[in-house]
Amino acid sequence: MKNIDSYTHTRGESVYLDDIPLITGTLFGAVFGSPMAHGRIRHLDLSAAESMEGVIRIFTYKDIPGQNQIGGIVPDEPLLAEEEVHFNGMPVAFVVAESEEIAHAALKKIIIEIDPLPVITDQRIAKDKGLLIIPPRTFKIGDTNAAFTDCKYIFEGTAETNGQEHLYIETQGAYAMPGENNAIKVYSSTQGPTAVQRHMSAVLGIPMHLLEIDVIRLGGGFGGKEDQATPWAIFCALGTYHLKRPVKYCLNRMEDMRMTGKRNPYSSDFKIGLDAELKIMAYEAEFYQNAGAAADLSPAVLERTLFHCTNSYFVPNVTATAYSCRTNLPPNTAFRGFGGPQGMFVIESAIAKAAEELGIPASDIQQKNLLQTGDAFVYGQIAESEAAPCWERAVTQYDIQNLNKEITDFNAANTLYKKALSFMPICFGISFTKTPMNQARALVHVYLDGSVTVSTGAVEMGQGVNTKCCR
Amino acid sequence: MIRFLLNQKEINTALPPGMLLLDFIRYRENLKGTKIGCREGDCGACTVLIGEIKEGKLFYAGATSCLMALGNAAGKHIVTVEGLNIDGLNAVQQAFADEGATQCGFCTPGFIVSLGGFCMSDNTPSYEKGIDSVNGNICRCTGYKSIERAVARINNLLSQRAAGSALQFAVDNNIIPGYFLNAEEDLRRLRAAIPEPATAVGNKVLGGGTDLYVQQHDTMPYEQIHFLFDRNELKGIRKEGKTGEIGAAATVTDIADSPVFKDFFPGLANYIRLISSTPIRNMATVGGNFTNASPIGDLTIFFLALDAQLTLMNGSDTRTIPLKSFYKGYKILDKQPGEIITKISFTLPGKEQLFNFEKVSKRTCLDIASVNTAILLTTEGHIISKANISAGGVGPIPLFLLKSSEWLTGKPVTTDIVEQLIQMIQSEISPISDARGTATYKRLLLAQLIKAHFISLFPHIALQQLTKLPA
Repeated sequence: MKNIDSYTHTRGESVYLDDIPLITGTLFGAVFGSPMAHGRIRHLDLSAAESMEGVIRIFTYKDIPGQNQIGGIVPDEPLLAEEEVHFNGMPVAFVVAESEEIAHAALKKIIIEIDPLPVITDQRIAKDKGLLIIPPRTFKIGDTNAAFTDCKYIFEGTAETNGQEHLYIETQGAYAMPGENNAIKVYSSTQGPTAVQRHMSAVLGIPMHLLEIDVIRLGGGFGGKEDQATPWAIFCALGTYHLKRPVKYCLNRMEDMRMTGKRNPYSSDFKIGLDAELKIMAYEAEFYQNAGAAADLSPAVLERTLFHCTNSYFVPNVTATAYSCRTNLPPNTAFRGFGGPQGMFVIESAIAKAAEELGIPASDIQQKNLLQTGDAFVYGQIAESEAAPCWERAVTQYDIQNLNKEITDFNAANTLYKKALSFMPICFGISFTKTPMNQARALVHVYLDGSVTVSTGAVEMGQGVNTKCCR
Repeated sequence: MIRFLLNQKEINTALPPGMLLLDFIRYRENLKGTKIGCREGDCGACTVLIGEIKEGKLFYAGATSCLMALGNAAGKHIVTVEGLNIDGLNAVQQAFADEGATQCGFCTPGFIVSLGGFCMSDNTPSYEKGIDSVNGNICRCTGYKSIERAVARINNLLSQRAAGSALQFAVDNNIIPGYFLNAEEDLRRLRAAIPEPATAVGNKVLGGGTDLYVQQHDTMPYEQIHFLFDRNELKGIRKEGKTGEIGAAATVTDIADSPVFKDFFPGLANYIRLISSTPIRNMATVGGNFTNASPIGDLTIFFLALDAQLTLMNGSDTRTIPLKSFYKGYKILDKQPGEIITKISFTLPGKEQLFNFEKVSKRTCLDIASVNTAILLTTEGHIISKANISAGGVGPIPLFLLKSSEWLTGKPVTTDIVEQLIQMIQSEISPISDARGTATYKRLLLAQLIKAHFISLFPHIALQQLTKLPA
């Protein structure tokens, strides 16, 4: 079945947030973000910006009727800075004006004085200072200490993976409009409409049933519009709450890249032990996750790193510990793989190092250690594994023997250009680890003429959930 | 008043000529198929086609409307995705639907428009040219494989085209709507009604806008603009005896397509591939690249090695200076207010001369250089009788490496000489650490690129030892 949206997508007729027809009286918002990564706000002067023609009002934390808190897992993230700022771009004020141009011009007139505090961007330094988001988590199976004593080969090292910008081509944004009895309807470019509704309710002090969150579709999310989509929707709703007028805010690319979190960078230490047959007998890893200034989804990302710390291999003795470290970067967040890639990369680095030191192809070690049915993961689950047949099929399908020969010949004949081949088995757990989330409901209307509508909380962001619902 | 054709509609507007075409299309004409992704010409979601009559023939090329002034649309046919729609899907759109080449759909209209331009070109179609037409479009969902298959499908269709009008074929095969067959006539009628553009009306000089609108997008709509892009006397690439002459408003695409450049620079296609993307090349002018004064301007580095001369004009006064004396300090030019570059001239490389351009950026294509360099060598047998070496990204201005170039004169091409040359160059540059690399890294990059020059230019000489990295 083809993507049912491809008709309107290719004709340019699909509706994204910025394509929603404007309601008369719509106002436009823009966020003033902290110019410093860490400090104490000494003085905030909004007067010049407020006096600009076309500026309707500028909101700060003082205008929040409910709680100034949007942390989903850990309540550690204010919507608007109060006394301190914790990352460069942290929202301090929300300007609402007659036009987008005026709102942005007003941002330049806001004066802020901040007494700087030490800025930490390195997660290992944060850990040394005890700046952890949650207590360390350890996954353990067997006894690594005992196992290492029996290993023929032991290798240690460090692996680094950096951050990554989601760069959904549609930037973050929201559009709020007033209803009756303080109700507010918000269009949000979010992967998590419920998260938006829940936090909006807490911030505005309005019960959830009066807040309607509608998502038409997303121009890309990739995890970057999970918890990170929430603040923009609440800012618009805050404006609507006070002004009783529609308020819209689509971030420009610079604002989006500056103020939103990325993939969590990791710095990790590993120690791997193999026996004479290249079986991995013991593996230890310490993961230092750079969470940024607030928890966001980092604790859940961290957990998934541990789940995937042995990738597609069976290792009988494992000790893996992960630290979620608080730094002065924008709160880092979900991104395709959700911590899994960061975990897998470390054991693959360990295998690569072992192979290099032993002068053998990494695939020799990889293949020997593939998970078999009946093997246990580090968290105790017994695997039903197709890893070995999958590997063998790849060898046949891609004619690896012949490919290797072609590569050897090419490399012998060329000095300036070289080719190589590597294998990368991946084991990835699907579904949520928070098991109540592994369910869905839909509201189906069958009309008198036989036509049907399906309403779900599933968000179409290119994965084809609209098409799936039609199946 | 600015007059142009937008799809099938004649536009006659008094809006500011410095306003962005993108904003005009989306927010004035309400054509929401043209998307906003970055407003920097990077993502291609806002791509439109520009139809112009050149040398008596209507010709379409892609452009990013986020960097294009409304004033630069005057007298042209602007085509958005809506202007390519027919009843049902057109052949390009159908290929995307069939191959699953659209997921979230946000980037899709940009791809459809770029490929529409590919289908309207009279050049012999090929798969590679199809891929080149979308090299300025970013997709974050698909991983591009499905898009490549769609391009292959479109190319298969076009390969059935006999010699003759691409437009006629495209209309006959449901690739574009029928009104395109009248577009040339409509455009001629419109142009006949447009008075000659007034000379020097403003103090803000604008070429293609590809850099100016990135830097000053918020103020440009309010500027009094002196438009140069469509000034006929600033266009064209000519060969006058042994001299090459380029009008300052010639674009990078004009250079890439120029028979003169193709004749005298055998490696041209490889150099151009490294310079921005198709839509940006269609807009970016040579004069703009020079006056932007970026220390890593690709064309600047290219023409520095050719020891190009600039002709500058101020009213009726003209003067000619070497490009290498044009840069006085970071973004400081030997240029008076009101003075514009009109012409670039240089001696075309002769048979005994060798030219090469090298560039490294964080991404291979579509990116600003970390370091770039060009070289022009005159040889007598194995002896270099004259050398011009330029380098960008290694100082506050685009550098002509005078000392090193002079040192190389009279030397033979050997591994030792190249190593010594690299040492000499290290004393002539002063890179700084920034987002594009550390100073140490840039020094290393330039050293490697100098080796690449010699390896490319002297494939018959054994320079293999040069591939080794310094210890």
